[in-house]
Amino acid sequence: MTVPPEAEASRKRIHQIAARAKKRVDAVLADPDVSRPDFAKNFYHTYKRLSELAQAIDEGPLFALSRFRAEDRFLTHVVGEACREFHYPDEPPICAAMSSQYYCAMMEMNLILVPHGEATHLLGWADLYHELAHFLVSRNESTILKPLMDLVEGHFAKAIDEATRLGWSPDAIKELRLFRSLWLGDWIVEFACDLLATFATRLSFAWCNLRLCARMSTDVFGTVRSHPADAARTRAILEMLALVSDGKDQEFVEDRWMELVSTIGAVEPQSFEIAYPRLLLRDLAKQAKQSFETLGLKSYTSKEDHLGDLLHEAWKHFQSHPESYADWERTKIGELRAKFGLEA
Amino acid sequence: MSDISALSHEYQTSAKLAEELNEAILILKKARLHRRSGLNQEQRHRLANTLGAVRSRLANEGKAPGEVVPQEVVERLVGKHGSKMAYFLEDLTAATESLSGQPGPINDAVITLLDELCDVADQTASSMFRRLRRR
Repeated sequence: MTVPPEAEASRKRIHQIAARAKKRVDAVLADPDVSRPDFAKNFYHTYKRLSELAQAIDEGPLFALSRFRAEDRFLTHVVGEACREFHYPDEPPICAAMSSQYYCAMMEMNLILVPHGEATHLLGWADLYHELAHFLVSRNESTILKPLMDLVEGHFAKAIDEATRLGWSPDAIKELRLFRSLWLGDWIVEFACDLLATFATRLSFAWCNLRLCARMSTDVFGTVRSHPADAARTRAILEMLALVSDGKDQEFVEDRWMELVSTIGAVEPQSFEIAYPRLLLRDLAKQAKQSFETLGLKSYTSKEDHLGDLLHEAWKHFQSHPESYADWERTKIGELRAKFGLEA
Repeated sequence: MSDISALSHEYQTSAKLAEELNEAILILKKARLHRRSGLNQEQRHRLANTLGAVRSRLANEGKAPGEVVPQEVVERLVGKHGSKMAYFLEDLTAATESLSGQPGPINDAVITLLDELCDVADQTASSMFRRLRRR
């Protein structure tokens, strides 16, 4: 398969993964014990993982690379630039504008998918950092995720002990256990990724989050299994912003957030502080910042990061001159395409 | 941002755990069948760490040692063992000690336990993979 230069590293990588899988298939077929009944289940497990891998390659990178268009080439450059600026330590993923699920990351395939129109819009690009964070978190669980999980475990162990001592009702204690379980499942990963995106882009991700909440949230205090409440995520983002930015930034975003909450008439439920204690969110932000620095990641610094500056400027321009924003954005994207050596 | 990234992460973690356990069980079963050496010291140590991490998560011991155990694996094990969790935790402790101790043959109870954990990790990985495809 021939691919554009931007996708060549990805093609090679996928080829290597497929070659390793083929080697494993050959080894299983040649294994003298493959037909023994007492090994059947284990070889069945091996078969399942290999067949999942084949399907994931077919549906992800193979599909993306077989139709890699100008928009995908451009966005792959954008992701590469973002990675370079915040010192992302691994090979940057490729990015394809073919998602029907907003931004998402296919971890094992090193692939980011974004909606079709994102190649011509700057305001959502801070979400690319959230998706990049998914790869980083997954590859650095012991440095990023583990210390955060320890904080969550510690907090809820103490809270459950305290609740038991104070004679809380069994239902209330059950709820605490449920929150702990949700935190240790998908929530902690989402928080870690939000914290990293804020660390890497500062205000741009905070605005991006606010826009997403305004556009898509049905209940900002509502909780689902896969994602924590939008209000809690916003709080965590504000905590990180307080650590990497000046107080004015945090205040500015917080004011707009309060405005949104008041406009939609959302009311914080009683259990919100129990589910998402402010102190825990603060500790998580501090710990996350320390882990990111340990990994050598760089927080956005104005005038040093071209893409970071562009996203920053985009939000500033959008808020101060909305009437001229579309033209401004078109010009800036054209300049960026030219910088990457792509046709405008 | 979408559910897919979170599911993709959890799929990868549980598939990795399932593969690690499955490979270890294959080595142990082959060692018994062909009367040859089984896991080396490093493999035993890694497996003991994994079992220790599972035990710690099931016992809610606060700071868990070793690797990250997928939450759905923990929940499936809690659902399976329920009120008899104390016995299961004892089995996990014994298996961890056996793997951390002097090199020597691994008994049936450890292999049965590894098999059970491997099944649960495999079910979790398959379920995540399917949810990623929304079928």
